[in-house]
This record gives sequence, C-alpha cells and structure tokens, in this order.
Amino acid sequence: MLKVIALGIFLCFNITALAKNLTSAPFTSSEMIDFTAKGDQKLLDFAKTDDFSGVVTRNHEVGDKKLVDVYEFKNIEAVPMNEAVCKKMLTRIFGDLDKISLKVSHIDIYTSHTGKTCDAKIDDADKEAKIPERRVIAGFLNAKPLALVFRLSKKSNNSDQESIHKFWDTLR
Amino acid sequence: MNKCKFLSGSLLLGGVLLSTKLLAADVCVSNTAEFAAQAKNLPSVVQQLPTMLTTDGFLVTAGLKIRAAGDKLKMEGYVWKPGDIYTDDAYIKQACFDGVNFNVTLENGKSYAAKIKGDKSVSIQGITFEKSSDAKFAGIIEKVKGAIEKKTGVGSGSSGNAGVN
Repeated sequence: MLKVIALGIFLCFNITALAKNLTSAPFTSSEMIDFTAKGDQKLLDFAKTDDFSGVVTRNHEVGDKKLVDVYEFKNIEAVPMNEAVCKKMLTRIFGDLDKISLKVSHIDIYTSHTGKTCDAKIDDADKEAKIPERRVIAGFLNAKPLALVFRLSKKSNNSDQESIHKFWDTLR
Repeated sequence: MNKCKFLSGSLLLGGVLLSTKLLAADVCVSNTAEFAAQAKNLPSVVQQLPTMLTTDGFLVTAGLKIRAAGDKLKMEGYVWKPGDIYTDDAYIKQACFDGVNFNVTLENGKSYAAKIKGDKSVSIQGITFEKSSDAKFAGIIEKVKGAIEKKTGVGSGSSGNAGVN
C-alpha cells in the first residue's frame, strides 16, 4: 500500500515538474495558440537547424496554416529589415541559398506593426513534394529576430498570403 | 638479411595500416547514382529506395521515408504531435556509413547519427525505428489520422500541413 502511495506521489511530482518545464511561446498572440518547444516533442526538430525553437499550433485554424515553425536567431543584430538581413535569416533556416535544392523565388520587404518585415517564398521543384512551398515571415518582434515558416501542401494564393500576414500582425 | 627482414616487416606493417584504413573508410552517398553504386555497402536497413522506417511507442509515433527526388535524396518525416500530424521534409546533402552509424547531413546543415541496430532497425535521436513496408507505413499514418478524428470529431485531411502518404 505504501509503495502504491509513494509511486503516486512520485508520478504526480514528475508530471507537475514536466508541466512546469514546458517552454512557453516566445510571443503572445490575439489568436488562441499553443506552443510546442523542440525539447518537448521528440523528433520535432529532425530536419531543423539550431535556430528552430518549436511549433505554434493555431487552435482555430485548419489545414496547412495550423502548424507554424518558429525560429529565434541569436547573433543577428536588430536593424531595420532589408533583403540582405532576410537572406541571412533564410540561410540560417535552409542553408546556403545558392547551393540548396529549395529555391527562394520571391522576397518582399513590407511594413507591418513591427516595422520593416520580410515575406519570402521558397519553392521545392520536386514533383512529389509534400511541401511544394514554404512561406516565411521574418522580422524583429520586440527587437528580437524571429521567423515564422508556414509549410504548405499546395502553392499559396492571395488569400493564403493575406492570412499569413494577419497572423504575424497578431503577435506581440 | 637484416635489410630483408626490415623491408618485409615494413611492408607487412604498411599492409596492415592500409587495410585498416580501407576498412575504416566511410561509405558516403550524396545522390541517387552514388546510392545505387554503393547500396551493397550500406546497412541492409537502408539499402533500397524508398526506405521506410516507423516507430510507434510510448514517447512518439512517427514515420520516416528516404526516397529519390530527381537525382537527389530526400527525407520525409511524419511525427504524431498530439492533435496533429507534423509533416516535414529535407534534402540530404550527404549520408555516410562508418560501419556503426549512418551519419546524415541535410542541405540546411543539420546533421545527426543514426545508429544501425541489426538488419531491421535504426536508432535516431534515441528512438528506435523499425524497417517498414508500404502497408505498415500507411498504417501508422492511418493510426495517427484515426487518433485525430477521435479527438476532434473531424477528419484530419492534411491537418497540420502537407498531406500524408
């Protein structure tokens, strides 16, 4: 009996400790979101670079734009976003842009609530690709360099792009 | 006579060193042509394309597929994230087998060692994957979809990105 009680206390302690250790998102959103840090889910980062911090789940979104990769960059100075800074972030996510198989087909610097912000489109020419397009929003949120990567199962349209921009606008 | 002994000894030592070096040489592949040429020298669990690996345990349910994408090698992963399937893929820059580990480097620079465990399994990031068939691989995905439908009451479709299968 004592052993069962001890086991129960042990399990409660560990579950509580685990819950406390779960990492929170590096931002808040006016949308209902959950954040899964790379350390909280096995294999989540199997194809990610060190700057990957986790995945945001948008609870009221369905389909492609529900799960969003989050990257937080160290050693990138908070300066006004421009194409060079954007490419530096993209390189940290995808590798040397001139050598990789994925291709950056479009970079647009636009103004959002955080200031100059980068919207990049990355294409995969593989005809069997499960993710033919990735859409990246990169900027400085509270002066911290951050990128969101949306992995899309089909080529995006204007509505998708608008929705992605709107999600960035909810971040604080 | 002494010179002869020295010479033969040196040759023997040289031969041993050379053969040791040859034995220790990694087998590396970075595209489909190299994979085809070196397949017999790779561990049996990853000798064919596509290679499918699955794990269905307490810690995680996931499927990994290594396949040809044109002349390149690509890895696709499906990870059961509570409530969703997390799908991702990456091109492989190089994969080397050193006799024990399969060291994979992706084009983005990410690298890790997959430890070969016998003919049918491999350990990646501490998780053991079993070699899988098309049917078993699809079964894992279906199981994940089923769990999502049970939880949410709706079909997952391609929920959480990029359709599966």
